Amino acid sequence: MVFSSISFLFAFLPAALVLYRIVPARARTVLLVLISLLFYAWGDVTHLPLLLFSVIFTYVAGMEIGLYKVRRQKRSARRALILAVAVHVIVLGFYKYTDFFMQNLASLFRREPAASGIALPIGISFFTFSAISYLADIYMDRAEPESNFLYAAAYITMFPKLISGPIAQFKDMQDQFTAPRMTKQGLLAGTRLFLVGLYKKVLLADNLGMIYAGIQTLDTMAAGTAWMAMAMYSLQLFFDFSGYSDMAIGLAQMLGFTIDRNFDYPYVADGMGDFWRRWHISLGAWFRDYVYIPLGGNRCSTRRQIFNLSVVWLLTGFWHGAAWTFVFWGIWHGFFVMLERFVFRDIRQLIPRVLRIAVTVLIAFFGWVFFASPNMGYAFRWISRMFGSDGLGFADAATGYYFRSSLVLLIISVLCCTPRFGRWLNGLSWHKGKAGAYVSSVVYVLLLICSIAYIVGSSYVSFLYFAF
Amino acid sequence: MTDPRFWKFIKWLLIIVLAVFLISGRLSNRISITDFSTMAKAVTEATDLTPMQEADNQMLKRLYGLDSSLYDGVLLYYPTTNMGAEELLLVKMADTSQAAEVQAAMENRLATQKKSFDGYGAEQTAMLEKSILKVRGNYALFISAEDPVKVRQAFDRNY
Repeated sequence: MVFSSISFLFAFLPAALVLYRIVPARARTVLLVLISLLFYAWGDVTHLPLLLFSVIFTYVAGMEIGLYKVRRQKRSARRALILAVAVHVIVLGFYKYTDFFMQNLASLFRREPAASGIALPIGISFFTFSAISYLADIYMDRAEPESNFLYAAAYITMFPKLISGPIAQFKDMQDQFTAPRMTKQGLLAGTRLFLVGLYKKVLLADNLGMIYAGIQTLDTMAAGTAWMAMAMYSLQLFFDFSGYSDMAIGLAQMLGFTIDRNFDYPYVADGMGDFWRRWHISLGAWFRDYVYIPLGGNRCSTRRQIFNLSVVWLLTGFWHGAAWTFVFWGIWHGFFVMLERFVFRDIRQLIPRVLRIAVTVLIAFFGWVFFASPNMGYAFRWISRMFGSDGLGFADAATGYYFRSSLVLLIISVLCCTPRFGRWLNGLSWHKGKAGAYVSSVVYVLLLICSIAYIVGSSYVSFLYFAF
Repeated sequence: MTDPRFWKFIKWLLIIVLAVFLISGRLSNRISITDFSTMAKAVTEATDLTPMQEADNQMLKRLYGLDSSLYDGVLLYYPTTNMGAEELLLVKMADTSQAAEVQAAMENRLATQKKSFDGYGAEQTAMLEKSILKVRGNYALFISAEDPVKVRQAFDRNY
């Protein structure tokens, strides 16, 4: 089920919130698990057994690792962790990467590639990473093994974050399950965040996506149109995923849970390192805590650091999808992160901040070209078009048409990429007394009305990150 | 329960169960590799298309709220007159994450049609009551016709 669908907004969510509010506190966790399983089944009932397996297996393996730790049997605990993580990775690999490997093997042996026909379960990358976080946190003594099965199940299946994250780590969530507090303040703050996310997704991302899809249908395009396509997709992806994350975090807040923010205005980052502290923060933190630091992090030689970073960025790319374009995208980001850290570290502060932001945005946007392309050839063709390979100059009639028809949307989108609008709205809500609160309420209600009107009047557009 | 060997035993049992399920394909929800034109031919040949007409993308958007460019294949036949309830929609999804949206769109359309004929179109209501909506892997089918079972059988045979 999609957060921005009528059935979720007017049936599932109100019913879930009312039920969650009226049941006794001790029954809330079991209710949360049941609601989450129903939420998953609504979208992908055939893979529900896989999700259940993941939950039960993680709980059992967590208990085993925890008991080995209590008995100080470090080796056994380590072996149990490696096996459990391997099972999760193999399952993820089976569903997500079988076709990729089959196609590459076929082309290696010059055979006709055959499709495996294996469907990708919704959210598998996210719930697998949650499960690994659960196991690793127990192994690293960052969390206690959860003896209550329901808490472990609630952590992995919790519906706000189940399908597209954020990948909240178990150590940050464990205590919250013992006493989830559904408060009026949490409900209000969560609703606000949810509405902002809904607006980002429905009014910004979907409209940007429509223009991008329109440009994509052109057989030839002027350089300016190709640049516009890159900007449209980059903005769509940001509003789509950050909108989903805001909705997820808002929903969790309504239910009494705190999940850290997943996006922090990444398009005003002044370096690639900074960009990744602002974009999909929970994924970056996951790779840092469970891959980069265990590999040695930055407390080692430069050569080893480069190796560690290469592994992380290769995996980051591969995690996003089973295609060479994603692998290249990971390498692209890793390359610039390393360049910034090892080559330009001392001189980057001499460059004006505006210029640093512009360069960062440009690198990120070029990266999205690979991210959006179905294959490497398509990506390079797109880039060559940005430099006029279609021979239509910088702008033609289509460029003018798309620019004019998207100008207002582009201005609003660029403004929403900066913290200004959010700060203004928050300032009204919290610091400007009653009048400010009324104004902010009106803004939120308007956002809701516009979003609903748009949902009712338009076609369904899935979240881009559902595919990962 | 405080002996890790107990949990280790359960863990291995689970791994065996998983392996069996993966190998038998029970958990894999195999998607169909039948190409869209083959499937479309099979389902259209299984029903009488006379009371229906083929729709374009605009009509698909109007009736179902779906955008055909997002899917691998879409075929819609809708009634030639306002008094008809015959309809056929076949969608091949780009990935199974689109299944919920397509299913919801089909359900909405069915509900709207039922509401339209409620109270005065007994024949049409009866036809809509026996209509079939099926989502399987990467394909979705909605058929409202005299004999929808035949269409479903053609769909299943070719999946």
